[in-house]
Amino acid sequence: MKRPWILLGLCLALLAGCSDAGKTPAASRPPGRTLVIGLIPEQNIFKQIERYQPLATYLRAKTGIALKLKVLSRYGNIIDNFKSAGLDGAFFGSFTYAIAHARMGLTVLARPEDANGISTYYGVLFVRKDSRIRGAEAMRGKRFAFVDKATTAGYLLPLEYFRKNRIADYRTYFREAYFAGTHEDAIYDVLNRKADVGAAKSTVYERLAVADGRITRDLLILARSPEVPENGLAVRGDIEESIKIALKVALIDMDKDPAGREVLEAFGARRFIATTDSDYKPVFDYARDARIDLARYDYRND
Amino acid sequence: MNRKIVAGLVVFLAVFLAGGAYVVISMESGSSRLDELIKLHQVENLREHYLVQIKRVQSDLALRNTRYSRTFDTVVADVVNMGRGVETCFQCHHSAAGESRLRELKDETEQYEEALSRVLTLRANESRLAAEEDNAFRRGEALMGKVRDMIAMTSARLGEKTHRSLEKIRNVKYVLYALFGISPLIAAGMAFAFLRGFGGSVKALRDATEKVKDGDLDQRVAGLRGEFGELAASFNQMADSLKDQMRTIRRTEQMVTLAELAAGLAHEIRNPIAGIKAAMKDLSREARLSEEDRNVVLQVLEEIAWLEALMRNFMNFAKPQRSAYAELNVNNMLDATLAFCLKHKGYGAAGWENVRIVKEYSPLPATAADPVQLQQVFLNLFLNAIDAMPAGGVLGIRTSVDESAKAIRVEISDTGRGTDDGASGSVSRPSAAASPNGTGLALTVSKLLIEKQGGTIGAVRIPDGGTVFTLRFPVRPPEQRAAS
Repeated sequence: MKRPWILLGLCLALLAGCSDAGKTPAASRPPGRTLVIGLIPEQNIFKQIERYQPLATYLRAKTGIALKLKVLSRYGNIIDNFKSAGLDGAFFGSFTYAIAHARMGLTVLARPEDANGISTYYGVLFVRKDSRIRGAEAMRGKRFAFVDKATTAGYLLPLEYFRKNRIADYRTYFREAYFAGTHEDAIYDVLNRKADVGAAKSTVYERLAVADGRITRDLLILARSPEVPENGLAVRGDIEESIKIALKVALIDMDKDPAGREVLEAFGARRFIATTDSDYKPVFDYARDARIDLARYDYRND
Repeated sequence: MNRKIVAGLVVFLAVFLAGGAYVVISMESGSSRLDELIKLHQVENLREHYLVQIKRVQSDLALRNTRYSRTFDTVVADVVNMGRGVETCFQCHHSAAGESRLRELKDETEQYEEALSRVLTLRANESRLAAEEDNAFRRGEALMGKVRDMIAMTSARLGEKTHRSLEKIRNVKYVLYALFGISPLIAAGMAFAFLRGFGGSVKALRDATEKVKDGDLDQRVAGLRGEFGELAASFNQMADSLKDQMRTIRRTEQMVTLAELAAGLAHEIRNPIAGIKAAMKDLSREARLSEEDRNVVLQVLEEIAWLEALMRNFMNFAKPQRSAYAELNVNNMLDATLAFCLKHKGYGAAGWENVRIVKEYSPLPATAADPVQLQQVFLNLFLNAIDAMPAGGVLGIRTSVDESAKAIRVEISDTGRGTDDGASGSVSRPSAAASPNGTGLALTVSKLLIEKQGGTIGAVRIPDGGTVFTLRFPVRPPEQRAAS
């Protein structure tokens, strides 16, 4: 009498097993939806769109999640747009992520690693070699090109430099201090004598140096910041976990896929690596040293 | 005619293929030109569209910081669309010079984008902002100027190419009209030529055939060439043959009638002649008969013998006896017949006293022939020759072998007055007798006998006097006797 019940039980177990096996794991194939992803103006904003669009297309093909890119006119806009324009995530700079994390509890997923295995950058402070400016004292009365108040390399580094060199208020110390908006413009402003001193991130500086020999030949780096994580993708904390996992897995596995490798090469990276808040510790430390309260910091440019 | 048909078909096919090829090439060429024009229009449209996009971006720039300024996202979208506009141009095929101009355009577009990016992202004092905006605006204006120049150049090329293409298409149209007009005329001309060539020749042959059918055996076809000429020659040969056969048939019919008449007459005469002959023989043996009367009786008997010979010839002519072949030598047969004649000199009216016999025999192979009929032929010819020479002359007998034809040739000549009609080969009619005393039937019988043995007989008159009869009959090996 027991045998029929055992058989029924086995059949049910098999059916249950088959049913589970047929399901697509939520993590690997979430339901299709569109995420609006912000891009900071790290470089010429139109080149920035060109650089990130293939990556968005690849992620959509792999995950079914459409990424609508929204380029921003300034770094701090990301924080504003999360509230006003309904951004779901963004490729943050290290400082903007630190602010966003402090204020909105975002989750960072992954960041790129370059061909040399480096996934960090640092800020550089530079002048023209023929300017005779070799220190803070020589900068007095000159023109200073920041990038944005929400950048590590383009603002925090100079602030730290000013603090170390006892420059109390850069607005009065320099004849003119302005925000170029992009690292690229800050570099070219100094190179083209539109500014005397500039600050920018090392990865952009090095990328431009490869394309334009004048940068290495005519510019001189006076100071550099500690290394901070490269721009990574972070999403709102309330986004479904399955979407976060799908995006993270797709990014991290890109280098294992021939199509993904092609996209990575065009993007200028070897692969994406998993990233957590702990990777941003140098930024938090740097902000603390610069006496910046991330939760209250006014990132709007003057 | 086959050659004409093939040549006509080849010409027609060549004309058809040439016309077809021209039409296909013209259509291909015309569609290529239209395709090129469409592409040029597309290029012009693309450039116009690109110019509109630049203008739109320039207006975005001009309206910046006014109450009509467009949103940042709209401006970005406009600039992105402008960039895509120049990228679209690269999807078409261009010459090296065109490619170079497009690259310049793309570079200037990128510089314009950089200037715009700079304006959109810069946060600085008013003079710096104004300088960057001026820079971007100037770049935009320069870009628009360049695109306008390219549009003007494209328009000029388009106009020129349109004009040229329409001119070529018009020319092609005229040629096609001409082809459509001329082709039926060519086809009709070729059809007329063929019909005339075929129809005329066929009509000539048909008319000639109708006339022959109606009994005009002298109808001949002339003036045709090629295969029809060959057909006309065959037709003429056929008409000649038909005419000869008709003549032969008529003669045969006459001969048959004559033979039947002769046979009937001979049959009716033979019995009384036999009675007269018997009576004359009895009378000649009468002792009381004077010598003078006896000579008369003997003369009557000779005449009776001549009549009997004549009767036999009639009978042979009417109903020739069946040939009985035996192995013989023609030279021997000639000698035996000649000996018989000399022994019985009563044969032949003129006698043999003043006739000199000249024999030129060649060695002859043995052959199978009917000895009786052959002897009859030789005898007839000898007697005919003697009769032709009443005052004497030369009887020539010559034999030879025609190795190539494998035939025996016998010539029997006299130096007399020749045959009556003097024409060669006239031994077929009974009237062709050489002797005034003969009926001429002997020669006709001789011809029949020699032809029965597969031979021929002909006569040639010698201009200085005399006749040569030539017999020719095949050499039959003795073993063919049975078969014959």
